[in-house]
Amino acid sequence: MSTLTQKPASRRSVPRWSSAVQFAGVFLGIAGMGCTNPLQEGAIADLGPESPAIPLGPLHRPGQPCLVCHDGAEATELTVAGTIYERADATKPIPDVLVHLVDARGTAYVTATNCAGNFFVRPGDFTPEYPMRVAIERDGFRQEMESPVNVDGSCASCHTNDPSPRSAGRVYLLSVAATLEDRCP
Amino acid sequence: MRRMLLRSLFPLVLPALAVACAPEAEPTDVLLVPSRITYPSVGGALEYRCATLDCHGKPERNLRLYGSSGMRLAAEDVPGDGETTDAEHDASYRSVIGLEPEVLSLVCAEGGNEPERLSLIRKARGEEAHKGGARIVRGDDADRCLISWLAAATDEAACARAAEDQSE
Ligand code: HEC
Ligand code: HEC
Repeated sequence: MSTLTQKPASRRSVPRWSSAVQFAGVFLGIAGMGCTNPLQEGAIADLGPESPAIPLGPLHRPGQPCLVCHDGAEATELTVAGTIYERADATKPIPDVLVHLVDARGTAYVTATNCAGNFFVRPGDFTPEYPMRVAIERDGFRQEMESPVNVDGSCASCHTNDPSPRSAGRVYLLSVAATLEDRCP
Repeated sequence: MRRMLLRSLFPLVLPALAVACAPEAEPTDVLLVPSRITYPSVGGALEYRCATLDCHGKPERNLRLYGSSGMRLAAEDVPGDGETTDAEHDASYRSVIGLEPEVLSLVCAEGGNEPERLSLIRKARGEEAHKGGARIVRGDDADRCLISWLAAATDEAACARAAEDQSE
């Protein structure tokens, strides 16, 4: 499905010296890895400092694009992660929401949100092959995402707090009048 | 027949080209493009496969696709709300025809022959390095939709099925 092949035609006409150029490119790439990636650094800085009230861990940074940091270098690698809110227009996160993920191979994985509304998936548990389908569920309420996720495991890359031409708004469970039992302190 | 159809599209295309870029000398040739009229069917087939916000629904991509479930054009429109607008089809269409205009023109002039000359097709099929892998398979509905569009004979039924089967 995702095997990538080069067009052979573009290989044949490559002159000799280009392998030297390629070698230099690889070398530069490696040298570059020692330094930080300015784009990622900027993206991380944009997310602001940790909240002093919340320890670094599963409950931190709700609503943020977790994988910006959780790439295995900057912080522990996660493959899919995000935050789920009660309603589209409310800031209240909800726990115990089941997050159903089904990848291109048809492999299904289910996890649940914690008291920050956060959920996260570790690579040893599930590394999806994209595209991936998403649905969420609790107490008989269910929401499905119609379009698939094609490459990005951070829900908040597309679901930022404010809806805009490039954001679907928060991920929310309730679209009808209902109340959920409060299960968090 | 096909030639005639293409020719009948010339007058539609020329003004757009003339506004976009002023040639230094008199143009000796005209660049052919596939139909804008049937593009919405093609866009529908590409929507979930290609135009999600994490892929070609990003403004920084060369191929930039708009749609109701991805990037929106109007400031008041939000992904997941309403239908893809005509202005959005227009913007996506321009992006598609602007990728490799000369090659596209050749493919169109030859009635859609050897469409894999276009990186659009090679990348969509995963035959050339593509972050999104193979999003269409040679001969499937989405592939037929795209290829038939390039041949000025858009297979509307294939496009409709391709738009349908992505939402299962
Ligand atoms: C600005 C960067 C950043 C963002 C954004 C971020 N984290 Fe973290 N996270 C860290 C760092 C740094 C640590 C501590 C080091 C580590 O454990 O990797 C951490 C630790 C964690 C841990 C504990 C790691 C472990 O192995 O037990 C979890 C779980 C976690 N974060 C979940 C999340 C979730 C869920 C999100 C999104 C809602 C998120 N993080 C967003 C930087 C971030
Ligand atoms: C590629 C961008 C993108 C990513 C990444 C993404 N979504 Fe979505 N999501 C959307 C769009 C656009 C909609 C609205 C249209 C639709 O349903 O396809 C949506 C709608 C939804 C909905 C239905 C509306 C709602 O909020 O109840 C749910 C549920 C959802 N997404 C959950 C998730 C979860 C959970 C994740 C992370 C695993 C995620 N999404 C990641 C783009 C994305």
